[in-house]
Amino acid sequence: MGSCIKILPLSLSNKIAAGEVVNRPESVVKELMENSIDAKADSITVIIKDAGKSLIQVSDNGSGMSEDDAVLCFQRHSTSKITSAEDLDRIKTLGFRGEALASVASISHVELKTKTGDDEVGTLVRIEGGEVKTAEKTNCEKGTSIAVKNLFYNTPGRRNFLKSNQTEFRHIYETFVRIAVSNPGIEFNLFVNDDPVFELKKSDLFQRIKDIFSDTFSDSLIEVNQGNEIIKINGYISKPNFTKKSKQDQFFYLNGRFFINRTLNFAVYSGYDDLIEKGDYPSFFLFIEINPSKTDVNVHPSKMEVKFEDESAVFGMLRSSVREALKKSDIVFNVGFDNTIKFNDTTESFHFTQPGKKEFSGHGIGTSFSGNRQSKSGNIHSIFEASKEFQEDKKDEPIVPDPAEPNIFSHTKKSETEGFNVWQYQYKYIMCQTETGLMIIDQHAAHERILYEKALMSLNSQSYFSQQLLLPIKVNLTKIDYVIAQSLKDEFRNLGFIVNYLKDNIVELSGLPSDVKPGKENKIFQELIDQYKEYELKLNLDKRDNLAKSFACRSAIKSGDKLQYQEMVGLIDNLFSSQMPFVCPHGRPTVIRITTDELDKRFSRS
Amino acid sequence: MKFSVKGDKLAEYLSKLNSVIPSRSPLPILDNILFDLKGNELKLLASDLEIFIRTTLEVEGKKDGRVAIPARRLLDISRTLTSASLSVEVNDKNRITIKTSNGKYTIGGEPAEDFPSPEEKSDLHTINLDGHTFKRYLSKTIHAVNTDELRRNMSGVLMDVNRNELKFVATDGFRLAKIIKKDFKKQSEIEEKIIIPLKTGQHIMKLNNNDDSNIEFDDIDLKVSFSDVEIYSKLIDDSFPSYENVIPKDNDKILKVSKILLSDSLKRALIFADVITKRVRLEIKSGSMEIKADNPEIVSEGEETIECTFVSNSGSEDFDKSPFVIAFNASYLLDAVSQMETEEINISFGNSSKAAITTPSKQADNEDFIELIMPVRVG
Repeated sequence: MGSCIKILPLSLSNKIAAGEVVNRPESVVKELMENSIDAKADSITVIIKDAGKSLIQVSDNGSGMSEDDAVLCFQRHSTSKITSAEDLDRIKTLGFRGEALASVASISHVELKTKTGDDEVGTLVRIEGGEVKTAEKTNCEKGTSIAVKNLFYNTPGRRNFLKSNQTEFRHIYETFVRIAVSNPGIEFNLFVNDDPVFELKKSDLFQRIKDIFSDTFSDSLIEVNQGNEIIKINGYISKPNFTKKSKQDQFFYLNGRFFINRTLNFAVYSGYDDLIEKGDYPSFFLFIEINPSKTDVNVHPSKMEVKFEDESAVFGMLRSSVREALKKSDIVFNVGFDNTIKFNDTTESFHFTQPGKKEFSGHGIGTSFSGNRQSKSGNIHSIFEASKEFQEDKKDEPIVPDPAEPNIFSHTKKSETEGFNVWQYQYKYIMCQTETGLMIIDQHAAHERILYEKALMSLNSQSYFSQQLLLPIKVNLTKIDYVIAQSLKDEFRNLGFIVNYLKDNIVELSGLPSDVKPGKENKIFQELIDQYKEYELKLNLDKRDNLAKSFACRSAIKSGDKLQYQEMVGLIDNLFSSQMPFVCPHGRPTVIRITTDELDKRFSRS
Repeated sequence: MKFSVKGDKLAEYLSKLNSVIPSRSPLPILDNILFDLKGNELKLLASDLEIFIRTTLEVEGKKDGRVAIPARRLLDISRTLTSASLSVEVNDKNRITIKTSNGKYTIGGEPAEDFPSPEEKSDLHTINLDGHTFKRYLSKTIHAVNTDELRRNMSGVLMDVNRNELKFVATDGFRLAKIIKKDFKKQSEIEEKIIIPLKTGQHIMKLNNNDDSNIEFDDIDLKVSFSDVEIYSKLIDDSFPSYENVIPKDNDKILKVSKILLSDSLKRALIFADVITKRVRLEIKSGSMEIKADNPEIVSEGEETIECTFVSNSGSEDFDKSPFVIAFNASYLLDAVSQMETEEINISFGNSSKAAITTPSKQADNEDFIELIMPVRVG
C-alpha cells in the first residue's frame, strides 16, 4: 500500500485557502481597495456588475507595478508590504499577508493592467484559475487596474452559497463605505451596473460622512478628539437624541483599519450614560490610534477582529472620550415634565408565579396548532373584503398552550372583559378584572400580536387600506435602505404605506396604515427597514413574514404609551380574537393571569 | 394684605384659573395663585410657566399687599362657603387667615416674589376682534389641531392676519379646517401669521364668553385680553405647513346631505367600526348613501342608507350602476360634519384617494368655512 497522505498541489491548496480569504464578492472588493490604498493611490474607482458575481473592477492611480512584480504578485505569500517577521509589529499598511491576490486569482478570471511612474509602457496579465495565460506589454495610465470576472467559477459549492444580488451588494456597499470613511483624502467612485452610486471628492472626515450619509445625519454628530502618548481617539458620535434602534452605522477603526469589537461598542454606549435608553444605539465613527506593536490584527485573514495588549485601557479611554465629547457639546435634550415625574419603578416587587409560564415554555416552536381558537366564522367575509383569502400559515407559529393540559386561559372569553374594570399599570401593562381572577396584558406584546396577524393578512390578501395624508412626509434614506425599500414596494403598499420613490434616496409617504399611531410615521418607516435588515441577517425569515414581524414590532404601541380606556378595551377585544392571543410574534407571553384562588392562597385565606 | 369678599365670588374667579395650575409640577410655587391687592382691585395670577392667566375682581380692600396662596385648598374652602363673607388677612410671615362669622382657617402661603411673572412687552402688534368672531373661529378649527407633540408646527391654530382677510386654520395632517372672515378690516399695516398653541386656544375658549378681545403679539409672545381676563402665552415658534396647495380645486362631485342624518349615522357606525382605525365606507348612488362599518375581528357590522342628492357632478357618471365608493376614519368625518351649522351640508369629492371637502350648504355672511378630510385608500 502506498502512502495515503499527499501534499496538495498548489492550485488546489490555493483554492482551499481562497475560501478563507475570499468568501463572497465583498472580500474581493475589500482586498483590492486596500491594495490600492497601500499603493498610495488618491483616486480609486470600483465597478461592480451583478453584485460582483460577474465583474469587480478596481482601478487606481497608485504606484503601479513593474512587469516582474505584476506576475509575481499572484503567488501565494507574495507581498511588498513586509519582508521580515519583525515588520509584523510595525504594520502600517492595510494588507500584509500576501494571500489575497493569489486567492482571488485561483477562483476567477483576472485581468491586471499596471504601470509604474518610471516605466514607459505598462503590463497586462491575464490569469484563469490561478494560471497565468498571458503576460504582455500594453498601453495604460500609471496605476493599477484589476478586473475580477466570474468569481467562484471553478468552486461551484462556494458560488451556490452566495446570497441574492441585493444581499451581496449590501455587503459590498458596507465595505466600500467603511473604506471610504476612513480615507477621506482619497477620491472614491462606485459604479453599479454602470450607474454611479458614489462619486466622493477628496475632503475631510466630516465632509466625507456628510457625502455618504446625509446632511441631517452629519448635523447630528459631535466631534470626539482625545488622546495621550499611547492612545489617540478621534472621530464623531451621534447626539443622544439621534439614536437608532439597530446597531448600524457604527464604525471603529484601528490605525485606519475597520474592525468589530463588541466590548468596545459597549464602552461607547456606557459613555452616553443615561442619555440613551436601553435598546437605542448611537451612530459613531471612531478612529483609534495605537502603536501597532500593542495590538494584533493578524487574528483572522479578514482582519475584522483585533486583539489589544491592554483592552481595558482602550475601553476606559473610549468611554471617557465619549463622555467628554458629550459634555462639551450642547445637547438639547428635551425632557418634558411628564417624563421627569413618571412613576419610578417601585422597589417593592411582586413575586407572583406566572401561572401561564409552564404552558408556554413546555412546548417548542412548531407545535401544531389545534383547538383553543375562537370561531372566526364570518370574519373572513369583511365588507371591505380585506381578508379575502387568509392563508393560515401555521408552520411558523410559535408556542401554543396545549389544550389537553388544564389551561389557565380556558375561561377567558371576550365577554369576560366587557364592563369590567380595565386600567393601565405604569403605562406598560393593562390590568383587567375577569370572572375568575386578574389578567395582566403586556400592551406592547399584545399589540404586536394583533398587528402581526393583520399585516400578514394584508400582505397575503393583496388588498390594503391606507389613510391618505394631506401633507406627504419625506424620509431621507441611505442608498442601501432605498434599494431595500424599492424591493419591498408592493409589500409596503399592502401594509398601507403609499411610498413614492423620489431622487437622491428620498422617499415620500403619501399614505399610512390606518392603525399606526400618528406622529411617528417617518421614524417607524426607517425603523421598519432597519428591523427588516436585522431580521434578514439573524432569522432568515420569509420576506413577508419578516416584514410583518418588523412592522408589528416597530409600529406597536410601546411600553410608556398612555392608553385611553377605549383603546385598552379595543386592544383586549382584538387580542382575543387573534389567532394566537397568548404569545407575541417572538414567542413571549402577552397575557398572564392570576386567579382569585391563587391570590387567596397567597393571603392565606382558605 | 387684608380684604373681604363673598365666598361665591372668590370661588368663581379662582376656578377660572384652576385649569392652568399644573397638577404635578416640578416647581411647587406653581401650585399657588398670586394675590395682588391694590385698593379695591384684586388681581389673581396663575401659571404653568408656558401660559399665565390673570383675572381681576373687585373686593373690599383694607390693606394692599401681595402673597402666593395654595390654590387647591383655597378653592375648596371658598366653594363650600359660597354665601359667607370672607375676611382674608395675611401677616408678614405669609400666613393667611380666613375668617367667617363663625369660623377661622389658616393656610401657609409663599412669598409673592417667588412667583414667576409674565413678560410685559410694549411694542406688540395689536388687533381687536369682536367677541363673537374670536371664540367662534377658534372653536371651528381647534378640533383639527394635531395632538401628538412631534409635529410642532401643526400643534396649534394658525391665525393669519391678512390685508383684508382673517384666516384661522388647523390641521393634523389627516384633515384641515379653515375659516375665513372676508370683511375683516385691519387697523394697521400688519400682515402676520402666528400659531396659537392648542392649550392656549382651549383656555381662551373656556374663559371667553363672546367678549370683545384685544390680541397683542409678536413672533414669540401672545397676550389676549377680554373682560376681566388676561392670558399670556408663548406662540409656536415654527412655520405652519403650506396648506393652500393641498386643498383640491377640482372636486367635481358635490353631494348634499342632511347634517343630522349623516352625523347620527356616523355615530352608530362608529359603534361597529374597528376602535382603532374607525374606518367607515360610503357607497354613494345618485339618490342615496350607504354607510357601512365593520370589525371582523369581533364580528360586528353595521350599515344604513340615508338620502342624498348630487348638486353637481361631471355628468357622464351613472352612480346607480357604479356607485362612488370612498372610505374614511369616521371620527374625522363626524368632527367635520358636526362643525357645520346648516341643516344640510355639502360634501365634494374628486376620487376615492383625494381629499373630500365639507362645507355648510350656505356660508354665513362674509365667511368661508371648509373642512378637508383625507380618505382611507382601499386597494
